[in-house]
Amino acid sequence: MSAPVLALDNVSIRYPSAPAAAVRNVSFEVGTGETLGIVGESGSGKSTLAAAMMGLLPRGSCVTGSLRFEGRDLFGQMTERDLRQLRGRDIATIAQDPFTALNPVMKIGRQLDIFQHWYHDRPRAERKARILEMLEQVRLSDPDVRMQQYPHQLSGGILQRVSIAAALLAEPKLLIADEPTTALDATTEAQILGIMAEAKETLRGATVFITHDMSVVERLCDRIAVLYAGELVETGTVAEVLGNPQHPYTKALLECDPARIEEPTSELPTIGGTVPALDDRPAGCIFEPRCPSAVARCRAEAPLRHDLGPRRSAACHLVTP
Amino acid sequence: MTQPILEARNLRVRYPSGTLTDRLLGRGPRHVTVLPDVSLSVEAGQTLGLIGESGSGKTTLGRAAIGLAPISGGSIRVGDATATSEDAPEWAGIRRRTSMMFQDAVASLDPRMTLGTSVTEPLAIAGGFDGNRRDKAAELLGLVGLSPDFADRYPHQISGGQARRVTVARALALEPDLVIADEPTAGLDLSVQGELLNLLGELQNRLGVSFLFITHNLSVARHVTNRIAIMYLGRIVEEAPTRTIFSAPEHPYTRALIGAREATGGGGLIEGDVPSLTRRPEGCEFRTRCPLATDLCAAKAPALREIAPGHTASCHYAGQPAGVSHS
Repeated sequence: MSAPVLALDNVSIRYPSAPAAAVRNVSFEVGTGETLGIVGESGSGKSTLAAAMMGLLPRGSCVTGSLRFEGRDLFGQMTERDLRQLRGRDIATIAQDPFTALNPVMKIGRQLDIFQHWYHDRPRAERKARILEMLEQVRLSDPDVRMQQYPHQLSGGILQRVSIAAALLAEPKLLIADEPTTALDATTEAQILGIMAEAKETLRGATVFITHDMSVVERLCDRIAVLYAGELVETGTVAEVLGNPQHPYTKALLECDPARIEEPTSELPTIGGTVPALDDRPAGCIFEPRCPSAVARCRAEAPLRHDLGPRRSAACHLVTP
Repeated sequence: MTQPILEARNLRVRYPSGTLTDRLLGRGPRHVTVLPDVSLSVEAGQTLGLIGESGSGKTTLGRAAIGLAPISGGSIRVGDATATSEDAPEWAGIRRRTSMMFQDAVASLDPRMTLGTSVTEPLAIAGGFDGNRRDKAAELLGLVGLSPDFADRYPHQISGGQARRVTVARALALEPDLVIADEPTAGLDLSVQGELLNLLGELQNRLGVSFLFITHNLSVARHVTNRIAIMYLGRIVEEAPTRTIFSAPEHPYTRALIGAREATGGGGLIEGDVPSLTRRPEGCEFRTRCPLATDLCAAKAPALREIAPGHTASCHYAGQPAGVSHS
């Protein structure tokens, strides 16, 4: 891999006045042209990481480690002004809820024009041509009509296409998609995932896809990072991790997915217990209280990251390279 | 076979629409018909899955089954009581044997009531309970695997998964024959979703409760239902035993829904959006998105008909061998 677009090294994030860090010692890299899926359940810290990548953590949050975008540390060297210049141009996002992501009192066409404000040297006609091109790329019918409409006149599926078009218009080096299909219906979700897969071809940068749904990762991503309770438990290529999961949490999570169970069953697998509260973290391995294969050592000592190959690792005492 | 526990017959639900001025001036349609004509039944001790995308009317049907939606035609029968309007006197009796798990579990619990009071409230409303409410609360919470000290907690002190369990406990307070569960796993993490589903299954085995299980998630429905009804624009377009729905779906919409959950995508993908309820397409209502649509579909609405015993579908081309030319 050439120099990574985004590189996290031992990142820990603690919200102001929180009893403990929401994200602990997370490291991974995303290279040009790669799509990384960040998977986790509620409380895993995936949204915190997304906010950090955009430089949108609340004021007073405590960040340690480094989070580098094209070699520049987003927290060390950048002023608010620098960050603002990155967002919307070099770093674009697709939000979870398409209904609130767009301005309700502005026509779609005008909003998409404004999304190109970093390219102010572009003539008006060219900006419009680019909008039409993007709306066609996301397979929106009647783009001319859509540009004259307001968000409330459009359905969730169409709005999410508009959001994707807006993100692509910025020609970002890093695209962050935070659960972009969670709010959508199954058939619409399938359409949007198809469009995202096509968009990957035209996008020259890196993509980070945040989701709780393994099947979305399987359809769209090259690499995967599995988070549990704020820690990175396993990472690797999608084929490696889904095909041969090493961390007990990854294994259990895959087993729990009803879509992956071939034969209908009335007794679905589950992971007993709950995610530990922020102020009640176990002393040893974070997953030990719920882990079916935990041994005495797991309770006493937090596992370090075990490298299992190039850019493939799992944080578990029982994993042997 | 014994008589079904719940039976909806030619049920029609419509809501008033438009502004007051529009209505006074007689402009535009005065109603939106959410359910034009729905018939469905749930067999005793079984689980019927009601599947559809947002706006398909599945929640409205669930609510109508317990008298929470304006019924303007047809009837609902639970046990031996039949109601033909939402203010029929029969509802009081029906609601003693039926309970509802609402989609948003946390919001369905009164924030100012302890969980113990919440789970035993149905007993107080139904009357005739002269036991100790605290003991009963502990018993009901125990049924769903929560310790008795939950009785003194408030909704904001518990997790989403625990709130779900509390709503299950409340739904069982009156020992109902039928529970309407509206998206019972919505918002639950994968690792705890199975726990709730297993709990519902276990309670069904033990208490013989029937479930109307409303969900958009086919993968979940595949494991926990006996039969599945697929809804589109307020109509049931296909109904069959769960196994048949997956092995031999007859309606193109059912095939599209099954295709959409395949990891590889592709198969049976449909374009476009669900049409508006106020502008239902002429003829077959699915034809605007259907890969098989022909002139016949535009001209004539297909009736829901029996394709095989216990398997109905509303498509002109259902029941034909695959690959038959439709021209």
